[in-house]
Amino acid sequence: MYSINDKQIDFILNDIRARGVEMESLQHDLLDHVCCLVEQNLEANGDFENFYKTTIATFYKEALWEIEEETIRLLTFKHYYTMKKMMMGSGIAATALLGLGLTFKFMYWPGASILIILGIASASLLFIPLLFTLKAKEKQRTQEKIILTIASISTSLFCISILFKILHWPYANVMGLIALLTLLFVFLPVYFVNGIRNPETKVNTFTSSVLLFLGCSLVFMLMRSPRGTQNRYQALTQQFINTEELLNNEVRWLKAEQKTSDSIKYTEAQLSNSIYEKCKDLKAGLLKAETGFTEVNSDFKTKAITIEEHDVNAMIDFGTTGGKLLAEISTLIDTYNAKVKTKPIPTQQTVFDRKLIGDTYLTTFVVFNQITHLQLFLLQHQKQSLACR
Amino acid sequence: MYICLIYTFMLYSSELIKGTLKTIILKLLADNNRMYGYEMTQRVKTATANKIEITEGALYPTLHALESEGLVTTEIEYIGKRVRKYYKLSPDGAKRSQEKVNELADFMNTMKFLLDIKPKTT
Repeated sequence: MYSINDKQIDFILNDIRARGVEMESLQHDLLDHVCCLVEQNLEANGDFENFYKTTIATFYKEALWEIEEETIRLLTFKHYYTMKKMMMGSGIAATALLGLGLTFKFMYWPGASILIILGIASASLLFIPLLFTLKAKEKQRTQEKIILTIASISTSLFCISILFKILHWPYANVMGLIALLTLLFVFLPVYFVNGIRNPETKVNTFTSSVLLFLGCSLVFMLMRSPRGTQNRYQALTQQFINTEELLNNEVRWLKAEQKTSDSIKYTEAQLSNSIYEKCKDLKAGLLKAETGFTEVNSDFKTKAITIEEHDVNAMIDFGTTGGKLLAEISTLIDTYNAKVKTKPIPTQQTVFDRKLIGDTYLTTFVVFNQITHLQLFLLQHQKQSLACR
Repeated sequence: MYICLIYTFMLYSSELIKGTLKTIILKLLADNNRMYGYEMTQRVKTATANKIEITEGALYPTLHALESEGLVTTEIEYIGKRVRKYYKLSPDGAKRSQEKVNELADFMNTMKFLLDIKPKTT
């Protein structure tokens, strides 16, 4: 019976590691096993090195790391069932959450957004990736695995883009576009060519491809073309310029009238002017945030400056310059309304309605219109006051 | 990659007894409280008169899978500089061991009936 020494133990352990076995507990199992074999089968004065070499070679077919690979395969096989259960669970959760969320949204009940967010998140971050991983395990060819990876990433990305879109977060459109284009121009051709060759999958591939193409095309149809978007923004900008000009003309006319009339120094008019000027500042601030310029002129097309439909909430949030201006205007409106009881400034459902801020998605253009309405209201009131005198 | 089962049983074809290794291990541990890998291979070898030889490539992956399933637990002992891992049945494993043995016995009876194997008469 051979007695193995510490140096030989180190040698065996290092050799097991060098042969690619990385799992520590497996290294110890194999080390003890080899040591037992040596101790039991080698004579006391036997050749350790030769015996070891022959023995370790009986452990594998081509390389020792095959044992580790097999261990990992068996361990992940166990995870397969957990993953399958999780996939089914997340699928049920996503369907239930989305179904409930849509019902709540349709009925205008509170809590719809959180249900929809959780539904889309569980679908795109759990269900689709798990479905892909499980399907990929079943596929043997690398090409099939790549096709599945592309499909899974694009589908998840598309779902996430919808989530971003409903939350009014940036890059939603870009993500959606990338996802759809990848599905249509990368996944679909590869999937179609691969499947159509095989007589067994021919019909399935054809119908799935047509359905996928139809689905993607219909979503594309709901999207505005870049040219259409550009035209719309240009129209909005033109409308903004026209309204500003209209306002300026009114102000000019009113100032001329007020000069001829000798008594303009009354509190209402001062308040009115003050609100008007602050509205102008707020508009300039918003315009700067939206376009990078404080004013837009008729040459906006050549300068490529357009007013778009961004969410304005961040620009008029509490603490921002816009937010402070808005608060000042709201206070002035309150003072004005307290003084002019007969014709108060209407603020309901506008950006000046404090309850509305943060809850409602307001675009820059809509807010510009609301500010303009307020300014026109003030001018009209001043005109009426002048006419009465 | 999948060499282990081919190597597992020297005298019987791998297809024939594929899937019985877990039962063998669980039964061994049920009868012997705790065992280490080498000990298991030797016990099977002597008990079957060298007809079934469990190879390292099949034994250790299966032991790790059983451990991950929670059917066996391990105890570590130091033999000089090296670590010896003893495998032991968990309460779940003890239950499963009996189930597995019963299942296999039942399967063998069914096969006997299916293949119409008559007991040898002397």
